[in-house]
Amino acid sequence: MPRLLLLLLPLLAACQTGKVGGDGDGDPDDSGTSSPQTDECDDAPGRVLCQDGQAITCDDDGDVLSTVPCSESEVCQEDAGCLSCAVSLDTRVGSAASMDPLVRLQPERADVWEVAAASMRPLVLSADEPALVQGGVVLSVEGEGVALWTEDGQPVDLEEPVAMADLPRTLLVQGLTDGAVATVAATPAECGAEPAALDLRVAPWRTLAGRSLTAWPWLYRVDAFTVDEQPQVGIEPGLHGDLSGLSADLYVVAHRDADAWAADPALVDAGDGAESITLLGGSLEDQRFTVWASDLPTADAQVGLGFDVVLDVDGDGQLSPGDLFDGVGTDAPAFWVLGDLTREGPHDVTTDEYSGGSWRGQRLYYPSDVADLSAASGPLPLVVISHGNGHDYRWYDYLGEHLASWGYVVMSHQNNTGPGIDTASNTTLSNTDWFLQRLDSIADGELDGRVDSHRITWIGHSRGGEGVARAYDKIVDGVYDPLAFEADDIVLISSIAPTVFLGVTDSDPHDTWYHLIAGGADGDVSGGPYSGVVQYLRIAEAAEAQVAVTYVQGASHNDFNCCGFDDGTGPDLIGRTRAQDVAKSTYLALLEWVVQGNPAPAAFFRRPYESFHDSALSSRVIVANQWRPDPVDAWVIDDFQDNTALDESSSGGAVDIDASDAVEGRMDDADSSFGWDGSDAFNTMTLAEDSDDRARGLIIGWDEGEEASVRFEVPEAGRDFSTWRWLSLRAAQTSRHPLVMALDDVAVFSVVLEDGAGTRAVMALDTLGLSLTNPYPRTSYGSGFGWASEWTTLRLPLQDFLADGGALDLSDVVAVELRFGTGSDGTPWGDAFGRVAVDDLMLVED
Amino acid sequence: MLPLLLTLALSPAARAAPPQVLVAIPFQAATPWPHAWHAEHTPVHDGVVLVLEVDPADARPRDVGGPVLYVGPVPAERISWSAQSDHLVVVAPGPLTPETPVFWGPSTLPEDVDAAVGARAAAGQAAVGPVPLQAPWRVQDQTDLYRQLAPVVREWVPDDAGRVEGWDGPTIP
Repeated sequence: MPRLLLLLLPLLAACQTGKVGGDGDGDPDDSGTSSPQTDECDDAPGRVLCQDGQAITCDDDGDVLSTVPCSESEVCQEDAGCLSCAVSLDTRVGSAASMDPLVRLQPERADVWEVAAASMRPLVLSADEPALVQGGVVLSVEGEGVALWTEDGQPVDLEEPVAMADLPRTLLVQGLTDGAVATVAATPAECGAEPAALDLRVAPWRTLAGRSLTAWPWLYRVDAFTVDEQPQVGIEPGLHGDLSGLSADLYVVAHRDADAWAADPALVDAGDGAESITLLGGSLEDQRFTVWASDLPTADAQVGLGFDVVLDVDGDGQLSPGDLFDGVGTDAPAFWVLGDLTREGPHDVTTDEYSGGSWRGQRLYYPSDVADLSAASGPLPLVVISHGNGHDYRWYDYLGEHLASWGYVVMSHQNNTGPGIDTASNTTLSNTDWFLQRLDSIADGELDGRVDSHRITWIGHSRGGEGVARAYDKIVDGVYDPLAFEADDIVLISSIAPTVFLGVTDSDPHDTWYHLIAGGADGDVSGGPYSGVVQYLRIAEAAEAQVAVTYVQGASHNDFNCCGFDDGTGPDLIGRTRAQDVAKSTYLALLEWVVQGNPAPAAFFRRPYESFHDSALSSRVIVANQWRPDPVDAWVIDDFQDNTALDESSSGGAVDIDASDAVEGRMDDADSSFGWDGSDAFNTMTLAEDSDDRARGLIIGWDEGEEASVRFEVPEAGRDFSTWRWLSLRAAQTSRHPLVMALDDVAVFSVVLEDGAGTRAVMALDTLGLSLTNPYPRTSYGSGFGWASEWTTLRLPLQDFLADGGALDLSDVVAVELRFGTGSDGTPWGDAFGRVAVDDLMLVED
Repeated sequence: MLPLLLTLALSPAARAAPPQVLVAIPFQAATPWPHAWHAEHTPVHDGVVLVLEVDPADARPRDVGGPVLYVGPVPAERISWSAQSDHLVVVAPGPLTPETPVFWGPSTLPEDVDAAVGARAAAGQAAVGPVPLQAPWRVQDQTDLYRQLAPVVREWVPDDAGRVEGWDGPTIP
């Protein structure tokens, strides 16, 4: 037996019989031979013990010093005593918070946890008494629309109490449902303390960047700026009232994808350093901040740079949950900064010229570093230029060299336009085919394997401009079967002042991306009234997918090549250099957007030129531009193509027109004169000519002192505007009309949205800096001044209708109104008099 | 309606002065090609190269159309395109006889001119009269014809020298 055990045996026996002299601690009970008195402290000197909901404090001698019963909101914790079991929930709000904390709906594609987490609202669950480690907390969520996550990306299990020992703990609240109101509660388990509860609201992600306005809505939410603009960030008090009183750092950071943010969440301001701002509440007018005071940066090798905006709410210098941000981790940045697109690109250009026989003369432009370029990013897109009648394939150096310097292979070919459009289209087809099949021979084979035959753009001028549409039509209709490419490889067709000899059934861009550029001073394919052949807008009308039109006042037919004779007809001619600058900028922007998939320059087409254009272009240049999305990407309220009665929209809603002059019909000037004599309501409208043309629209006129309005009831199926970003329509002043000539200026009106509760929000075009061009004052073909009516696409950000706490319910818009003139109560809706055509009222996402 | 409007609005044909033939060179082709300047795309086995003296206003190329130059009932293929020159080089299929009219016809697209349209246009037009023909060319095909045409264009329409630059150079097969 071990010696120690032998020594202890007598002592153990004595204990069992109680024959030991007291407990040895000197207590009064520690005498005599009867059973000794014991207490809880005997073995716990200096400790606090818990028994039956009481805290027993022991002195250092092992005696009970005090016994305190714990209250209902306390629990007794060994060595600590009665501790409050209350817990609290906290999400950082400003000192002058006026609203419940906001949980924003997640931005799109936040599939990287770090970015998804940053979009959530942090919620800190803590115990009032930090020493409490005993017990747990049961979490619950009342209401729909939010979910709770742990910081490491695990869904919070509401069935499993959170141990007090684990507090404080940060939870993340994810917004799932727009407009949801939820309450998160934390109830201490086995304790009577009141649960902690926090009300939350969920609202959509609203963009932050925009252009400052002098009146409501105070901020025109746009996502592109030119280098000479000063972007602003607007923090809506009506949305972010929970942050009122808060000071935070506002960063503009280079746009990065979600993975890059996950790898490095540090905020690095791309400008002069983060700006410290304080959110004062009140109006949006007071919560706009210039994010870049100096000139915006551009990169020589890119058409645009993307930036994100982050309000570092917790001041940790990192993108983290609770920060307010725009653009981070999504495909699109908060805003783009677009440079001078007329400037030469980053690549030296090699030019070559060769012939493959009759009607196979070609001039070629390509980046001299084509081998490196294609090795780095794959084969280069191909641009084919088909010249017009009497023109030459060597007349487009300005465009070929420009585009090649930006990384495109450009081939301009001899075009057999003399016989007509069919022959010209065959030349486009055969030259494209031949070029792609001879890449091993052309330019000593340097382009072999380096031209992307699946990304072909056709640009045609005049007869060549119609020819490219005809060529595409031939492939689609199976009339021509190319060997080296197919219809889907033609990703973009652009016509420069195209003729329309064949009509739009044969010269039909079908479903490919179609662009048209033309000059108002064209003395050849003029856009005039005397023939449908010169009314080129018809081709754009026939296109079925995305369409853009760039109408350049004062540009002539041969301004778009180097050497055609001067046919400029009209005042204020802008000349070849300015017109070609427009072409260079437009084509680079278009190709980058449509062919390369770079969304940066899209705004040059989607927004009216007057409101936004390449800042390098001359101030003498005036452009009317249109953009129409692919119809599958829009919800059309009225395009006037169906339900042709004045009182019904194409979407089936009622239309209520209050105007002294209102007519709906085909946008077809009925005679060969542009002079206004009152007999042709659609005078100067050149969108339609033959029976194949379908373009219809609405014309509204109002005189001094009159009010005119058109109210489009929105059918139930389309009333949720909250899922769309823009309300879009196109409109034009009706040239040569006496009211338009009297106005002799840009034209404006107002757009009103009304929701199911009768709440109305009015947006004046001029407040946003939007207007319809003053028609180019060309004369002839009848009395007066003004040429073919110039259409402009107007896009109103739907978010702006909610600005500054606007109460409109975008999820239930029952009517869209266009209002003109002066209201009976003196409300100025826009110009006091005028006459405009409107069309394509629709909701658009992009 | 449209062709009529076009004719009325665009065509100075009725006022165009008849071209004068300065040079006529017959040719024969070993390999014919379709005449794209005619609706029927008749194969060109032989024809004549003409250098014409014209009013530049009539010959100025425009995209919307202009008078069509006929040799007989068939539009001629235009080879030179100068907007200023008073000389015009064309290729006409078939023989040129003293009875053949050479004239500016109504504005239309040549590829739309069929036999009936051509006949109507040619009806009543004045014959060209005796024209001295130069020594005939023998050409292999259309490319070969263009090769031989290049120096003619350079001589008569120097404005277009650049346009024919590659015609008599090497070709990629």
